[in-house]
Amino acid sequence: MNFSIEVINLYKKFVERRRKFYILPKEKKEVVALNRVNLRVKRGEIFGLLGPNGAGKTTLIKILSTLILPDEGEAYVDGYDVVREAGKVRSRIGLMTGGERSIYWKLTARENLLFFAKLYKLDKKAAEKRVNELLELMDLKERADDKVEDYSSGMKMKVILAKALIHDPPILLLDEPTLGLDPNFAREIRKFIREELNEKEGKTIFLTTHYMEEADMLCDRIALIDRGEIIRIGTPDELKREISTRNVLVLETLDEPPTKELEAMSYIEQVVTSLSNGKYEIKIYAKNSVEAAREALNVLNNVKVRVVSFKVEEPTLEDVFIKHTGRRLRDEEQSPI
Amino acid sequence: MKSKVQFRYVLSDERPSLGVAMNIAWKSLKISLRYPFNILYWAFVPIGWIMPAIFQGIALTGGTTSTKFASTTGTPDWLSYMVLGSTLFMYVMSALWGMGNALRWEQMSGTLESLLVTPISRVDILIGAALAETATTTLTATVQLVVLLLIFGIPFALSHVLPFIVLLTLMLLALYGFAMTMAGVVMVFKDPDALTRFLDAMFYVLIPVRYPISELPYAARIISLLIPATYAFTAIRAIILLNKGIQAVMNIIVILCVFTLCLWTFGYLTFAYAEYRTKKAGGIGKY
Repeated sequence: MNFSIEVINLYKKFVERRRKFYILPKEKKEVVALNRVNLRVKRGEIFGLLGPNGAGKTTLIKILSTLILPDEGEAYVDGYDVVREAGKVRSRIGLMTGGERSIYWKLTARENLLFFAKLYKLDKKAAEKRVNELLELMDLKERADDKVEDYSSGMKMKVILAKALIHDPPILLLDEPTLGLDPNFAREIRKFIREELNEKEGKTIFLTTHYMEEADMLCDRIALIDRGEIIRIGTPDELKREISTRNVLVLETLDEPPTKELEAMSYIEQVVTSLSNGKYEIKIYAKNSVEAAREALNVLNNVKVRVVSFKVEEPTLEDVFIKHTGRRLRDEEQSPI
Repeated sequence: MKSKVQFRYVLSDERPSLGVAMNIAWKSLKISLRYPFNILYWAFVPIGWIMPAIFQGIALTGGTTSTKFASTTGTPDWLSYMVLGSTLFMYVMSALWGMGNALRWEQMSGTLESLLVTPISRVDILIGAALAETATTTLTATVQLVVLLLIFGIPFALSHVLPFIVLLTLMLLALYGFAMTMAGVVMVFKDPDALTRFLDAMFYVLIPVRYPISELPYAARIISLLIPATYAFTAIRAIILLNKGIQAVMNIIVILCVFTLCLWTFGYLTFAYAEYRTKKAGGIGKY
């Protein structure tokens, strides 16, 4: 068995029923969350699922952790079927999901960890030993007997991560592990995941993120996911190499840019615009950056769009995503790098 | 497209463990104890609920006994009859809704997924919640019984304690089975407030809390006989108020055991189906 996680042709559809008015029948809306997803995660690998909000990342991680049932297809964790052998799957994974509310705030860190240790059938002595180890590892020993409600967000996340590690599982499923954290603490968590959990303890880590920098820095391999479909799988370098012949021009304007006119230019291959902090950001992809820049500035000048800044960037994972979907990974939210 | 994942695939293979259930119960109690004023409130407020009925009874009968009452219940002491009924009814309510309310609390707190992703039997989660609720109710019930015993002199002897505990446990076990079904309803429909109120009211009317079921219309009496609490109330009163021995209520013990077996089977299957349905809809953590 070479794979920690194997997903074969996984399909999941959600049905929403809404009633517009009391006496009217409910309207049925179907949303395909995962559409024939296939992927394999090797043992000891950090595998990232990168995609925008609503791409299907959380659905996949919840299927792997047995919290959602798939409609079709198969998924195996450590060789066990997530549907038919859910109990065995649960004993082999550590899940970090649901943000800082996934532990008991009225209990202390120690009480939380001891409680979960007993759910994983650790005897009293082993549970106490493991809890002390984790409190030490997470640098929580001094505040271990304070109630979680008195902790900072960063400390709460440490308790949640410790909870996922309580039974020393070979596989960790981390759903947006740095979402909402301040940049320094996000860096600390990433370092811990890479150095302590992966390199030192050899755990397989499957994480979801919509921060491309996080995926780029942390993951051995990445799957780009959009609207329930896997677009590309590869190492960060392999993915970026796909668009290495493309130049990325980034312009900021005060007025709405004429996207269609820009795309009609001969040197410009693709244009993506977004609105952030009251300014328009235009990403222009071209093989010849000098000619493309000349064309773009001419067009913008002709329609009296005021340009605030102009720069040439190295291609990122987001550019790979844009190439395949025509959409950005995120609009306004910034990564806590 | 029809789903290929079927209910029978997802029936849990984890074995229930009393240790795990106790761990869950202790966690819930610990959290409750972090709100000490709530405990004090629940210890004393139910006494206030029963007092108006007691004073109304005294006003109607001119005392705490009634010969008319004795002709249908076997005891003239309507006050002790009613106090026992009210105390037991607290257990009925806590048994019925303890599991569902705890599940809902975990859902609202954001901890339900953390619980469901551990390799434990679902029965442990539900029984743990019910045990915590029963422990809290025991505190309330004890305070109520002691206070009313001191004020009105209810004839509760030490020899009654053991049969009382046996019958109470059997009633709770049977009701826990039904409560599993209710917990399933909570998991699927999230906030079944209307159902809770409806069932509370129905049980209060149908179970012999304040009066014997012989006072009910025929159809209501038949429904009352389908509720395990009806039998337990009758047996406990026979022991405490009529000084009957445990042998006199053996038939009721057998009936409660049969109820337990049937309701647990039904409750386990309905809760498992509710979990299956919720997982299919992706709604475990949603509230």
